[in-house]
Amino acid sequence: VTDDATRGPGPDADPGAADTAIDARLLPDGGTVDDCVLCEAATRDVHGPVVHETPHALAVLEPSPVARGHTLVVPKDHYQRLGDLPADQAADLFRAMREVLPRITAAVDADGVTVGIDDGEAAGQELLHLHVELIPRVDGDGGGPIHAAFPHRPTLSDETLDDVAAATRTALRGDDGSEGPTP
Amino acid sequence: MSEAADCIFCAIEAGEMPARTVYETDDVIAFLDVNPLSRGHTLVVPRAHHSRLAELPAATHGAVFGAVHELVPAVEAAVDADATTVGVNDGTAAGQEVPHVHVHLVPRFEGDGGGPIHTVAGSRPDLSDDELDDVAAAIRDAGGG
Repeated sequence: VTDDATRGPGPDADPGAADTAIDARLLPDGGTVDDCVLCEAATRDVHGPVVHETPHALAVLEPSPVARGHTLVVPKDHYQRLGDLPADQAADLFRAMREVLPRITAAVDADGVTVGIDDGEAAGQELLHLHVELIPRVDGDGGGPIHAAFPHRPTLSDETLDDVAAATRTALRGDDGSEGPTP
Repeated sequence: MSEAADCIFCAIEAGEMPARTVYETDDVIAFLDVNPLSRGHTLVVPRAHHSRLAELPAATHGAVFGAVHELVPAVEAAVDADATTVGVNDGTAAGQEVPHVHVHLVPRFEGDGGGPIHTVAGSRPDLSDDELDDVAAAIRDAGGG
């Protein structure tokens, strides 16, 4: 539906990238992502002004910012969850974040930055295309730490915490049955 | 490793303070937060002492977020969570308390009553399209990357 002339790099500049862009428009269930604004941003610069770009990631200004300089760093390909992203693309995403963060801080003269990912709908993710939020903060802006998003905190026993730690180590080894062959 | 006096994360890294460690590499350590925001709340920390994200050398930054990428699915599996809030309070203006870079991984559960990241920011500004364009231009033009 889009005119190739409106895209940044020409379609012949990098055939691999062009293939990737086509693949990115297919969701795992076979549907399309024509209604994903961040996929649109990746191809046609329509979500917000692009302020930084790496091979697999873009930084775009959030059009409804909660602070001046509020920026989203997104993979060009459509992935919803951080864990869905291949390791090389994750590395590129966070490299883009590292590169753009001090530029944002300098541009809006911020004292700090809230960096965050709402990774999954139960975490409040609304745009179902992975995005790292960079929210510039200034002293006395009336906001809070990440912790302010959590009004209900559990009281966990030492035994429960020990169990959680053990379960996490097991999950990392991949022998909990959730990944790879069940022992 | 470089170590700062009175830094609790340096003390944990050095083994001088106990922690429930779940992940260790040459550059990164991850352990459970002692004041968890949810079951499975984990901190991912560079071994070397740096207070702000922008101070992390590229390799260290890559190692920290590589660990985040690896840990999020593992922590979710461990506590059977539905989602995760990943967050950094980068600087005291963002509410950072321990001045040693740390990434929070907070497992989330349907209906847990928590909110999205953007709710912790200050009052929402009313910016015109022109102002947004100016901000974008300033970021593109800024050095420091």
